[in-house]
Amino acid sequence: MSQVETLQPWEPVFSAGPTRRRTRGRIVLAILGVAVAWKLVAGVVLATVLGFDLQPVPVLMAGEAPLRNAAVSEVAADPTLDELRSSVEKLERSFTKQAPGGRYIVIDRSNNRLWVRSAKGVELEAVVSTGSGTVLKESGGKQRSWTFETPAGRLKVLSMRRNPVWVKPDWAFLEEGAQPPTRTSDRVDKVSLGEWALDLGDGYMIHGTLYERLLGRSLTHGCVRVGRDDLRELARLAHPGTPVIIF
Amino acid sequence: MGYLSLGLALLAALILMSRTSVGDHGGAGEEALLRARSAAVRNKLDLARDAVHFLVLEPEAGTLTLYDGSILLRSYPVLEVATGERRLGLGRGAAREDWRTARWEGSRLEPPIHREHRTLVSDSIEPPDPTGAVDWIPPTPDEAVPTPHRFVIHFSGGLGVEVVASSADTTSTRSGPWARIGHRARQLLPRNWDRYRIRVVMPAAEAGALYRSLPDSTALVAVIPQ
Repeated sequence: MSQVETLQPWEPVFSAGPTRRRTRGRIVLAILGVAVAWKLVAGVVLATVLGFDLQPVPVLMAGEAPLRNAAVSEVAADPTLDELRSSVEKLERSFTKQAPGGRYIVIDRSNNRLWVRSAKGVELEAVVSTGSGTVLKESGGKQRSWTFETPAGRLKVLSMRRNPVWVKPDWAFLEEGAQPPTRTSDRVDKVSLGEWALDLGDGYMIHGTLYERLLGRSLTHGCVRVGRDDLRELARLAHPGTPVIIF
Repeated sequence: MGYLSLGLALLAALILMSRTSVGDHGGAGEEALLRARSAAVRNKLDLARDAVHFLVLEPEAGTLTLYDGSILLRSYPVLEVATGERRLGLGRGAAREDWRTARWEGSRLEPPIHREHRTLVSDSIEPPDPTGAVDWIPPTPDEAVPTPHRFVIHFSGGLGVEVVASSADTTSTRSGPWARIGHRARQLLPRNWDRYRIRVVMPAAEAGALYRSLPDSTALVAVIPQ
């Protein structure tokens, strides 16, 4: 028996219900589409109206002549401008006079960079490592706590030591899961600080490292680690009294 | 659709009305530039006396320079600069004619940086591996604080300096559509609703360096002719 023969005469072959539902669905989708499109248009228009009316400012790119030179030649004869020019130059000179006279060291903790600057410009730029920010808590004993951060502020080189010896403090043992020794001789480390140490006070130093491959990462206990070649150059350029600005 | 067209036309007219001419400061002459420099140096002298951190934006030198008092810390190259006011005179902060040469203080980064620090308890630390293997290598600055493609340094008083990482160099920055939507959404917050804007385009690496190391409450001085 075929399937057609089983159908009753009054039974519709296709139901109208799903078609109506599809039509209603399309209408709802169309309304939603129009609403979303309108929102988008309104949003863009609103953002444009309430946004900023930005106008470009000429920027001098490397190698271009200063903008002011072109203007100077046009109006050089104007006495008011001459007066203004000399007043600005005088003000700029007094600002420059306030800058440090000789060399100074700048350390950017967040980007692990060190520069030696002077009036001549940048004399040395080095990738360094600064404080990790790790907090070490002593679970027993005195229950002390240390935060390994490089301090920000204006310091200076207090002294410089060649082939420095490090007398390891308690935290250096605790952070390795060991107990601090009682004898000072067990704390002496002759290699970790490299060829030079520049003392900044309160135990902070700029010194060398055994882990040059990790330079550029924040991993120290607060000191500033410098690669061997850069440290040699730094030791040549700096001297006790050299300002160190850390930010 | 008639109302829609009328509304759009009205808005377009408002935009045109609020627009200033392109040459207003783009073609500023020697005098305007000298006056801007004069105001900037006076502000720099005041800030140096107060020994605070401040940025100096000098489009004519192509630099944004960070100072600690009178000490130059770091100079960032600038590729493009644009300035403007929010349309229809809206935005946080009082109206002022001299906003381009004013001294702005109280910087705040948007999005802010959240740095997480490890905490070690001495009891739970394992002795070092005798083979020299390291169990934890700290992230690089880029990994620890990824650079947003676009961030804003808001200053109290209603100025926002929008720093955009150059589109030619955005491989290490968060510049996807979600980042853009997030940035736009944050700008709608009342505290970020600045009245004045300086947009600065910088190389991505430099923008990232500035984002990570900008000290809290930095001031700003710009050498931009009125």
